Amino acid sequence: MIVLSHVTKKYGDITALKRFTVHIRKGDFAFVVGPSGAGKSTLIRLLHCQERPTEGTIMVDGVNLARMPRKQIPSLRRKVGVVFQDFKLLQGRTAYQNVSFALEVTGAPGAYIKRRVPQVLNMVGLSDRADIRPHKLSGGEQQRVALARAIVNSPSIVLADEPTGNLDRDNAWHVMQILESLNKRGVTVVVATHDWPIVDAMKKRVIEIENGRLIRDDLEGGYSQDVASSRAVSR
Amino acid sequence: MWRLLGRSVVEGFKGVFSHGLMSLASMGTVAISLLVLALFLVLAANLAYVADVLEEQVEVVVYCNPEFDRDQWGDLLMDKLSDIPAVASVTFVTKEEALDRLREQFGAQAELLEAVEEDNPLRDSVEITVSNPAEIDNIVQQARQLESVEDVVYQREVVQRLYALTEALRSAGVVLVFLLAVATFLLISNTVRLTIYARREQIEIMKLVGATPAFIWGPLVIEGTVLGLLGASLAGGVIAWGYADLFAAVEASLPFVPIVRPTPFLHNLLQLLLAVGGVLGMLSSCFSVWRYVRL
Ligand SMILES: Nc1ncnc2c1ncn2[C@@H]1O[C@H](COP(=O)(O)OP(=O)(O)O)[C@@H](O)[C@H]1O
Ligand SMILES: [Mg+2]
Repeated sequence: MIVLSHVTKKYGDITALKRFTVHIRKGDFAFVVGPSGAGKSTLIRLLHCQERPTEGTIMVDGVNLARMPRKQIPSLRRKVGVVFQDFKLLQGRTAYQNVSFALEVTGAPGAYIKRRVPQVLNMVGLSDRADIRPHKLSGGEQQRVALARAIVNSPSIVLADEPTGNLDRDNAWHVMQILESLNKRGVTVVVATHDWPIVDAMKKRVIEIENGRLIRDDLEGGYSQDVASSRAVSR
Repeated sequence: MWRLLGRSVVEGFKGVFSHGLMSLASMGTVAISLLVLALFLVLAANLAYVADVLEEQVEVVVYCNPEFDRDQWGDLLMDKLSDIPAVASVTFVTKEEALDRLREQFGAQAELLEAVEEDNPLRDSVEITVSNPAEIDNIVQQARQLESVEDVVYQREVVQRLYALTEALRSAGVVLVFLLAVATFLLISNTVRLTIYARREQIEIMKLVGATPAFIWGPLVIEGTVLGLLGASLAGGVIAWGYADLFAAVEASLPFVPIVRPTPFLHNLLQLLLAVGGVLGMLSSCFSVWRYVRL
């Protein structure tokens, strides 16, 4: 489903990822962890073609993103939903409009949009907040709007870059629960994070990056190799 | 395709209104730039007009020899003179008419002319106006070669200075208008770039959710075009109203000053402003959106 082989990404002199190889299967739930500057965000950006790799191949759904023509980027982004730490919502539009926008972009028929958007808002628990603009929503609500927008096109992959970075505990868990329920329905989920309590508690696949290199890939891992297991035990 | 266009138009207009202040500011900039451009166009058009009027006053006078029989040769001479390139009009002045004019000029002292009145010493003549002062030497030469022409007179210095002056006026007008058009373009595209820059985040988000470049472009380009047209209408309105007043005032109090009539001049000017405003708004939003829309 997602296969990175020997992927190197350079920004000028800085090498953000070095000969990075990883395979994420359909239906996986993977955390990407590592210290700040390790290359987590770079990985997420490569996966929805916001950046292109300097070297190597990135196969997503059988397409090599390294060579994919620009023209196909929009259709990739409709198959891959993304959420960020800073939500990236349109301030002038309501929660409903922020979500419906992602469907309008695809040219979806109006009747379908009217049916689909409430469905997704319901899924993230925001049915009663549909007509409110982002600046009047809490951080957790904004992130759930962003999540609703990311999944409204029924993507097979959802990427999240520090989705809980700006949220309090309750909201952070709420967002993670939504991601997990999506994953249960077959969506592949990749979450870059340094939110160690969540990573430790969820017992998912953990991919650890340091200095742009893969240093650990555990199937039911903790936030860090040693401390995590002891933490898990002491809990 | 049509759906995309329809949506672009709707969203483009929405964009103009939902970004009220920004739209107002860019519309104002467009209006002011175009107003300055229009003022110069008005000036240039009037300079050109003055040059035309002055040129029309350039005159060559052809004097016939004393034996000239106007009943027999008059028409032929007139035809031949008219056939010379750059001759605008020819007017036959009989020697009797010439004497009358002289008498008029003398006014109270007309009795001084009594001595010559029995035997009019003046000649029949043809007054020629010239459509292009550059051709005047040529006209004079050709007229001199005609039979029954005794002398050809024109005011060489005046003509040549006038010619230089009108040419200078014309090229200065062209250069000024060109420079101003460039400045207007830069100013307008800068303004539009600012409005687009203010919305780079929105563009970023649109790309993120899989919008195609055309989907992002359409509304912004329409918005730029609408802003350009609105600014142009504003500038056009001010100019039309001001010029009509100016024309009325000049015509009433300074009737001898040559000034271009408002119709059809203003009509053409308005069309030009709208075209320039629309095209500049469209082009500059195309250019500035391009940078942000690239995937
Ligand atoms: N656009 C960019 N230009 C230059 N350097 C960048 C850019 N984005 C990231 N980097 C660098 O690449 C490295 C990895 O960054 P990033 O992927 O953001 O790390 P993380 O998300 O793990 O904190 C860092 O050294 C960072 O400074
Ligand atoms: Mg990061």
